[in-house]
Amino acid sequence: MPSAVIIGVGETPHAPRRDDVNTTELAWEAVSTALDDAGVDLDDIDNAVTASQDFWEGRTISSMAVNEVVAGYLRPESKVAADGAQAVLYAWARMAGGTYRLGLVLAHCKESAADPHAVDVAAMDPYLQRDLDVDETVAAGLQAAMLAYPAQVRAAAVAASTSRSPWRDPVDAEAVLASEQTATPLHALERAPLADGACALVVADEATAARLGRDGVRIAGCGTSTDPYWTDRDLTRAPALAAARDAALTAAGWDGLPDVVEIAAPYAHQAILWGAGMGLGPPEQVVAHLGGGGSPRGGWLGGAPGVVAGLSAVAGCVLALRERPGRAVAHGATGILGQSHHVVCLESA
Amino acid sequence: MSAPRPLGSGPRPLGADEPLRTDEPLRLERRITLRYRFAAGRFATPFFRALRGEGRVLATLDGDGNALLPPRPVSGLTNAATTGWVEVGPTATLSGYTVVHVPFIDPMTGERRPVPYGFGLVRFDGASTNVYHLIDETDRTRLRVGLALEPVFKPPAERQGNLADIRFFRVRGDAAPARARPIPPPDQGEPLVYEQKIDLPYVYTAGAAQRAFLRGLARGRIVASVDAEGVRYVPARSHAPDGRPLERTEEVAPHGVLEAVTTARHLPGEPAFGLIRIDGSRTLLVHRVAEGAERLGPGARVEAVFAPGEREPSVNAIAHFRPAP
Amino acid sequence: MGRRVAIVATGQTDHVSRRTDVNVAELAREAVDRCLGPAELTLADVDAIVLGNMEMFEGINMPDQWMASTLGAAGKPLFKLNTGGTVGASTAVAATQLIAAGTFRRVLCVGYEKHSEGSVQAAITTVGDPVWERAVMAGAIGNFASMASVYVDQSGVTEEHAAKVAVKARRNACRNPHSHLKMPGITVQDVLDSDMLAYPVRKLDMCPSSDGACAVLMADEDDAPSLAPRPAWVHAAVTAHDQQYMGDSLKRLAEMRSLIAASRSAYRQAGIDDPLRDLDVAEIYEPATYAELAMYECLSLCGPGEGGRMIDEGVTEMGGALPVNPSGGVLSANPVGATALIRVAEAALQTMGLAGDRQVDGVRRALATGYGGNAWTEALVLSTERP
Repeated sequence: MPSAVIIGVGETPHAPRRDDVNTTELAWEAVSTALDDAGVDLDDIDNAVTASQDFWEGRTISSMAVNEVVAGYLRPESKVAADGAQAVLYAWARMAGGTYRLGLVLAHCKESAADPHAVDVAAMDPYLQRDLDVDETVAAGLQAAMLAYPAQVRAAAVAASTSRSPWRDPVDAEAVLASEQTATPLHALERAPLADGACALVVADEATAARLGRDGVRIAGCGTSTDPYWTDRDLTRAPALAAARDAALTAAGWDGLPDVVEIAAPYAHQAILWGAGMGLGPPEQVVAHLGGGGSPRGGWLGGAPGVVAGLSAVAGCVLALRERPGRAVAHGATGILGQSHHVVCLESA
Repeated sequence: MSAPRPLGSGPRPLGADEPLRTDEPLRLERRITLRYRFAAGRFATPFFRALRGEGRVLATLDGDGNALLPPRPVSGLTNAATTGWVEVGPTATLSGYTVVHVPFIDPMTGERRPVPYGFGLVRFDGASTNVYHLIDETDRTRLRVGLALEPVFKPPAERQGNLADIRFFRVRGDAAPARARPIPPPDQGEPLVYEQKIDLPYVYTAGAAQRAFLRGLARGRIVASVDAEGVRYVPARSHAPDGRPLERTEEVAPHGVLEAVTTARHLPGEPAFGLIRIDGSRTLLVHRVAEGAERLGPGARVEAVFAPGEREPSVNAIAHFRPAP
Repeated sequence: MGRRVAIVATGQTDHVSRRTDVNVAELAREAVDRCLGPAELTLADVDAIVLGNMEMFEGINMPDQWMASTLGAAGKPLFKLNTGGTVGASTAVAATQLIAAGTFRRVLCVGYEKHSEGSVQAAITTVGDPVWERAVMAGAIGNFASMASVYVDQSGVTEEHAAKVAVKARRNACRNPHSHLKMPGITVQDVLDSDMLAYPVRKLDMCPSSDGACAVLMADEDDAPSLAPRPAWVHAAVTAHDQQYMGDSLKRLAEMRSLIAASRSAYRQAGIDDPLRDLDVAEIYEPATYAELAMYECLSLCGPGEGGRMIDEGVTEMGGALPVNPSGGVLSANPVGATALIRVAEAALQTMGLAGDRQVDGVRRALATGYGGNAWTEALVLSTERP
């Protein structure tokens, strides 16, 4: 299958609050960095796929805010209302299908701008859940109760993830357990902090990458799948993750997972569950993975905003592969408690 | 608190004496209120400082000499970063116009703007782009593309740092239009952040299975959907999790198993919620659990406690779930 | 250049002002069932679903996730797009690209909107940039009418020309069982007598807001011939966006930059030199009568300023040289998340010879366009012949 090559990466330094920039400027920070990294100009870009969520952005057609910074004028920008890792799949298909040669993938979110409780509640079933005022934290508490991973293990997952993060100070397990309780059994520091940030990739078809003389990292395969709504499925399993992983591995023609695997999960218990679902082993092994070189930057718990986390995982894997050529797998999730999962297989070109 | 309903030995079909009238529409009126703090950023901040404080209008220049308003980091016309700042206007030219007769609720004030009112596309002299704004003219025969305009500002004390600081544009005598004047990049100062509340009313229409379930709740009943193999799904719904249509509903006993419980310490009042599997249901129901129930372990038996008196067809027709004997 | 792609089946609900019997998920699923059922297919035959809808209109955050099961998407790849009025066509473009890449073989596009569930005005407010555009708004009609005046000024089209477009649309709609508005006896005078909403746009010049859904099944070249006797092959699927703010384009309607660019690119890809001659039917996204006239010009169906002449001479009527919107168009049914997909579906039906009473004879090539967002465009060219 024809593939696409990531030749540029740009990411803002994710932070709890970026009041100095609006969404357009935040996106441009990431995009311009990626363009410089790829050695190309904005005018060279022939298509873009963006990722944003209207309720987080407070804007219907939220991609309107970034059209000019992704060379959208008279050119094709499309988007997914999902985690940025799914945008990579769409962008990969656009390049692989031969339609375009040099594209941008962008994910952006200013979580500090919104009221997270209200945004969460708006995703709950309007007929039978909204009136209860349950938010995603409540749902996560219920899930964590069902999974019953020991608190020590969950705290260790946070410590491991934050130890890899370029954006957060490391948080140790004791601090996690000492933090305020949210929805029992969860503590506040078991969840990734809200953040403002953007991440962008420049993606080229093989011929263009060769012509530009960039080695890049090949998108070898992608997969995405969807489970039923949170109250209609077994929250202790994630079949969509396995399906997305299998689709990506099959497309890539790989037999198994490489050493570098970046999971993007907002909660510690989900990092463990999805790490296990990905194939990293039992909880203790997942925690060890999260704290070692196999996890480039700590995933979502490392500090990227939610919509960006999966694309950030891809970016982190690209940077890791530049240091040590080989293979990597990046993951992202969308929906309440990770209802949809997206997996991207990457290999040094 | 009403007496617990007798726990039957199994599902009870709805009796002929208790018509549920699922054919009549059921629409839930609700609101979503969203609050945002929008950072203006490096271009809007100096623009609105200048507009509000000095009545000056700024724009950004791109490599082709286009003066873009709103000012912005990148010009789509050149696919490159903008190169500098200019001052434009404040006089302007009418690019397009209309007289509106349809009432519209001003989103910033919540007030209905009196009709008719003039409205249109206005290009500050020297700018290459337009903004939409109000025109002080309601006779459309007196409006034409190319008309010379001038802004009428609100008094400084009333300005808020947005385009409504200009109350409207009015026709001015034909004088030469202003040109764009280059200026050094304006000082940033403290970033401006705008707080906005968006209040959106909705009416959620219930489908047939939802009508059965919600009206069932109002009557103190739990209604399940049933598939061809007799598998039950509570709450009732049009399609099974795997997508198969579900044609049938039946009433089921209002008790089941507590699969998980949590106390939401991050919410006011610290309510406790549980995921309840009504007996025989493949799917789960989320609801409040009674005080004390949070100490129940998973697998504990629970029963629905319906709210006393007249109940609305809503999830709050159930007050909570409590431990069942 | 990638795999060839064809449309093999379509389905629509009957668009109305209010569906009080179903929720949004069931509405969308109704279109899905109407698409797959007659083709004797099931959801098991679908590899992926692309859903288009503007979530703030119905007030569900991530509606794709909430309705995944009812939509038939559980266990499948599911993509959610929200590109405004263009979204329906964006799903078709996405599906085309996903199949062209060999990622999937059969992709179901679904678009829906249930305007009766929300306040259109309140939701339209959220389209504007929060810092720049929300302080001074006049709703969709005020914005549109301001653009239309530029076109009127430049082209000299009259309100009679616009009224003729309204008459064409609503009469065509009478032959379309899915249409929301059907006005068999409508006359030019009826339009001119209707209330002036915002000069020059009268009530009967405007599109309605509808509850409705549409589904289109697209398939890989190897599958298409066995799925449809006469697939509608995709020869072009082009997207063009614009600058970021509503006032950026000086002549946003009169010279719609994205429509001009996208249509030229689509024509080039499809080998069309003279669209009036080479196309047999067009389903275009006309939010109002004046827009249709301007779009004739932007689509190079006629020269600048000739939109009025086109409608005067009946060029775009049924029986004319290039019938435009035999379905009745957006003027007759407008569930925003579906509307652009309905254009694609109607163009496909024409190409497949399945358009019933509204069928144009001898269709070989059809054009479908989407409009929305900030004057964005999608343009698709379909053909009876494999590319």
